[in-house]
Amino acid sequence: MNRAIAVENLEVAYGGIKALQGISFTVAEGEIVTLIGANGAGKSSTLRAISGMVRPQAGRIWFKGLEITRLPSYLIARQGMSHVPEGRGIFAKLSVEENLLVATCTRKNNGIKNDLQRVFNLFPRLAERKKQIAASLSGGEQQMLAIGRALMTGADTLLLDEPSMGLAPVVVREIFKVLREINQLGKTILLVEQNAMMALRTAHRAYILETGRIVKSGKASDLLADPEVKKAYLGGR
Amino acid sequence: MGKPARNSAGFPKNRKERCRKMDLFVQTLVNGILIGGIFITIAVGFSLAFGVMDIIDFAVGEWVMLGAFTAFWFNHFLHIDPLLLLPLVILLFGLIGYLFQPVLQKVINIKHRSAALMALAFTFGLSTFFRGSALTLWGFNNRNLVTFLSEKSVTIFGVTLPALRVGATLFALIVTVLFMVFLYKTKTGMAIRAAAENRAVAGLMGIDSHRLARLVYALYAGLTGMSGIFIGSIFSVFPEMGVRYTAFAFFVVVAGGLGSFSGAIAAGLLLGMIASFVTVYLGGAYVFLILFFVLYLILLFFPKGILGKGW
Repeated sequence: MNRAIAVENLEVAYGGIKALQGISFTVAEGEIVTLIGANGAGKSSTLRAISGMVRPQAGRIWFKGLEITRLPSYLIARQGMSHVPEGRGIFAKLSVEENLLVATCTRKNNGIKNDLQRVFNLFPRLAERKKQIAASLSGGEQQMLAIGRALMTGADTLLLDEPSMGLAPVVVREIFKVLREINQLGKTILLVEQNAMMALRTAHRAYILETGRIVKSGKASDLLADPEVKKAYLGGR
Repeated sequence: MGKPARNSAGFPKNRKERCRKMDLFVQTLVNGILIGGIFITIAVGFSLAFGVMDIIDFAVGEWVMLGAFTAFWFNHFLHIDPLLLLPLVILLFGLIGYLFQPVLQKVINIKHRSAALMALAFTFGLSTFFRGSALTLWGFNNRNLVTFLSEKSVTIFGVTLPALRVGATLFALIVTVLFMVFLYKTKTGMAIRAAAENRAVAGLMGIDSHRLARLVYALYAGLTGMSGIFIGSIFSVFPEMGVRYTAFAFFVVVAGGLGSFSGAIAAGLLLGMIASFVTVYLGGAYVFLILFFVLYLILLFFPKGILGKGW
């Protein structure tokens, strides 16, 4: 399988504090890969560095064979990568429909209507609320909007940062079900999650981060069964 | 603070006292609406530039002043009516804004804890530089910008409507409506609104917010320079006229709620009313006192702006 994302010795620092201390990993096209770890392990920093939101101190990043290490985020997005940031980052003053359409600003017109319909099929609640201001949506709906908007960019690779954060379990299950559907449509997903159980059940492979380093990696099903992982991240279950 | 050189309130002289008072009130109200229309044009551009670039441009009043002087000198040397210079001034100031914005952006992007304050100080310095240069070049004198509408007026139901103010307001409103159509009905407009709300996330959508900021600043500078022609011909042209409009723009953005376009429009209209009523009933010297007292009250009771739509 071709590599969608390849990261080599990535280091990120904020001021004097190192968030990532040289991590390397890959994501193949069509895979769901998850990064799990405690708060402050460096999961979000990894996504932010890949999508160009922060500049890495050292290391290199490739996307579909092209080096993107120091490209600005808008150029990386135009290569076909869409990052759904932590806290969703929806445009609160724009309507639901505008939030979806704004993601197509740099696309050619063909296929936009079909994609919009596809997003509404995945998330029927967004279709019902398309004229509403995005700020009026519930947390779950905002997450759906953020994922729908990422799909509208036409990206083939999605980076998702804590999609389950602050949501009720029933909504979390719904979101993860859609993520599997999106993956079946051929999209590559790099997922960052604190809800390790849900993430490992959804992903094909996983990397476990601790204080800016990868401490374990493997098939998600193997990690689910690993006693150490169970003890540290799955509450001993 | 520059007092208006001409007060065109237009009192009807041969009416009974009661009627006169009522007429004066209506006249002031209409004047407020008319001048508010011009403030709206400045306010929308200013508010948008603030949204996209995160900076209050203290040089806004100087763009007004330079717009007025550009029209004045063109009129002086080439005898072209100032109103015919509107498209030229929009284009010229748009171009200046387009070329100048990257300099401002560089200051904003400096990797420093106080980058925003440095950018603010930079525009303040720029404003001082423009004003000082204008004073050195053109002196303290007030100049009149006479247009083909300057001496004309129409009277409807006893209210005198100076043709220039009506024309200026109509033109300003048309430009504002076009601007709004651009913002709300085009893809680029939608991208600008998104970038004004969250630049980092707009970048994740493939939107180049630096390019948009440049476009917005060009539009803002063009519209503000254009307003200078109207303001200069309704009042007068002098190097220190800008300070007043910088303070006005600040009022509009804060009173309207940071980042809210509809709030900026409402605040522009409110500003026109306050300026008009205070000038007629209390005297021009009290405009700022009342204005900033009102702003204080707005912040106290409506911290998100008069329409509650700001941040």
